[in-house]
Amino acid sequence: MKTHNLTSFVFLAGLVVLLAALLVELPFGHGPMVTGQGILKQAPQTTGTANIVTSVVLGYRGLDTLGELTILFIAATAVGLVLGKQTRQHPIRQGGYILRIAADLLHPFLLLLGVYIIVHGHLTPGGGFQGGVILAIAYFLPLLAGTQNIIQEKLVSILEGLAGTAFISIGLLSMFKHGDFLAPLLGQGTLGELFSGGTLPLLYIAVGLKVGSEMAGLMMRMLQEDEPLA
Amino acid sequence: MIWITLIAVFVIIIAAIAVVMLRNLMAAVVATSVVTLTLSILFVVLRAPDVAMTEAVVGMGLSGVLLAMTLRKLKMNGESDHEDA
Amino acid sequence: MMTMSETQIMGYLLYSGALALIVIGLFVIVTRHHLIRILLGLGLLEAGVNLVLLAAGFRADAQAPIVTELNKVGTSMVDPVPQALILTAIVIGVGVLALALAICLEIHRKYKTLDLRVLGMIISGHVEDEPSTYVIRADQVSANKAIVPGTAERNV
Repeated sequence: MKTHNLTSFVFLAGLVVLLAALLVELPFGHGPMVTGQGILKQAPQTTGTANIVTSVVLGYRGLDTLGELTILFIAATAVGLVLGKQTRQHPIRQGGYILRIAADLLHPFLLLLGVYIIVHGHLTPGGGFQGGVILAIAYFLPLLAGTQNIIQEKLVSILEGLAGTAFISIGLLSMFKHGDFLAPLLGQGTLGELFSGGTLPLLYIAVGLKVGSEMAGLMMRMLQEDEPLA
Repeated sequence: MIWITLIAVFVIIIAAIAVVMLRNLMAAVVATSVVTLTLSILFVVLRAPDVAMTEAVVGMGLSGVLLAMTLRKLKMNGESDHEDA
Repeated sequence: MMTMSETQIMGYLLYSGALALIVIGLFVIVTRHHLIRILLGLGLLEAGVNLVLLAAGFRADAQAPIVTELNKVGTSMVDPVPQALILTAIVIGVGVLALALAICLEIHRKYKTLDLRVLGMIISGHVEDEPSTYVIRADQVSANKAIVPGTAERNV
């Protein structure tokens, strides 16, 4: 075991030297930023959102977001396939008194926070992914504390399918109108208002609902894992 | 600006070494969460609020909950004697 | 205000911190034998790589890429393209972690252990007894030579 660790140390020391030689060449603080400059000059006028990262995620690199949604969908489906069909449903253990009261108090505030972050994703930092994960946590918290025993699996999977379909159908609509998949529609509006940016907020709402319901379903499925085989 | 960066990088390196050397698995999961949180502070210093929010919510809210839930189901959250390292 | 030497010091600090994270994450993946600890090392590796990407897109004395009334359109901002790509990478990382944890649960249900050396010996057919009553002897585990002749390429 000692020589095994020694060879690992030598390998990692060599890797440190190689990576340091690469990282020294990277400029810090004054990078070339060729694409970034072009996007920064024309993004607020072309797409109409105040948050430039939103316009990059949904407008200029919208296909990457579609690929990420596909990967998340495959991961959630694979978790369901690997864990198999659950044979019985055992009841969830109840937490203590303070835990139950705090979970019930936090639940509406977390829902409100998640919806706010999703809807204002094109004005302030935030967006579909962050708000969707907060929604999933808001759904999962009373389940974990034991205050809620009703698990609605059908509703969660139907919501996920509808949100994914909405995203792709908005993209297809703009393809029929403009010739480009996922091009922004409906004009730009004034910069900084809530109703600006064309179809980009609608896309973010679809992304947020899909991510949120997917993560909620995944965590529910892992919580209900059976006891090990006797 | 430079003092925040110095302290944050220091905390990150100490927590990463703690992930290697702690024997208790639940403590290693907590050390990973410490790395994630301090990394999100560094992202704010680097002027990227979107990435900082995503890292904080996803790295702690989802990763931490998933890891802790799995450890509880595997009954490995106490001290274990036959686990290597 | 940040002078030129302050930017350089910050650059050295950030790049060396990210390099340390990458190397420590690789060390945990290569050297440790418990499946959950390997997943933690994978998380550290991803965090280090994200930090390198974001530090490469930084511009000194620039603002965050959000247009407000204090931050008009013409001011210099940091690069928004790496931030969008890192958003995607973080969410994909948590998806991979969820699937890996589900596979770990199934392995534990079937083989009753999560140690890589024990699993290697069980799966390669070296041991015939029941997996629930398995005990490692000190002479069976050796790091330098292959135990089973047919699996010489695997580093147990």
